Amino acid sequence: MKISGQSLELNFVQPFSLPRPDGSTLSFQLSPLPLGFQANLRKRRVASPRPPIKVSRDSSGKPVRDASGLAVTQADFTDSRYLEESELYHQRVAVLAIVEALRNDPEVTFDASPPTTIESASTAWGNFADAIFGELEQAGLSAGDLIAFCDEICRISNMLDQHIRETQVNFSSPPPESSI
Amino acid sequence: MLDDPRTIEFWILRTCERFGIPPGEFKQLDYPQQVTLLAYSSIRQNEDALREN
Repeated sequence: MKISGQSLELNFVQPFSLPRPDGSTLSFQLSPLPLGFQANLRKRRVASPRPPIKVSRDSSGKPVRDASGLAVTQADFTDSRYLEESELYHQRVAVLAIVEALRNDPEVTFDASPPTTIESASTAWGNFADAIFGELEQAGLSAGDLIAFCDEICRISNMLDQHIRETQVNFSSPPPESSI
Repeated sequence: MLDDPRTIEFWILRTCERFGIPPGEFKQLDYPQQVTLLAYSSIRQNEDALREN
């Protein structure tokens, strides 16, 4: 039910305008990410990659050993494959956050469908995110546009205190006006 | 949450305890449902504290 075009149901949707290079704007309706979004990503096997472990070596190339004689190891954050996987992970998180935030925008639809529970193989959600990224690219959205989306999503997803206050107001009826 | 020093994780678990919801299930709810439950739990917590005083 809507009154004067306004829904009384609190859904915390915020309008978002994305400027285009030609001076026009695209309008979207963004919703905050649900609490537990990050935990759900892990359940869907969208997880941050781990850097490979390499043996620490001295200037002569010999392995550095600890007091027990065991080789000292360290994470290799410069590994090229790790860097590629890390970049892909962050891209997938951003894309899935955008899809989630656009869930209440009736004007936006995607060709790719999210995995169902049945077909949730370990790569299903990653593949879905990659397909959505392809659609966003084809729609002409740049990396900067995705960053703008994510900035706004972060902003509205950190308004929990305000949203709780707004909801608490709904639990009380306004006092009756004095008849005097 | 609001002026309480407790973290949001505490309030989620407190809310789940009050409603008998597993935390994993709470995190599957949509955002308005989560906010409604947290808002109600916060009010009830304050009412309980006033009653005890």
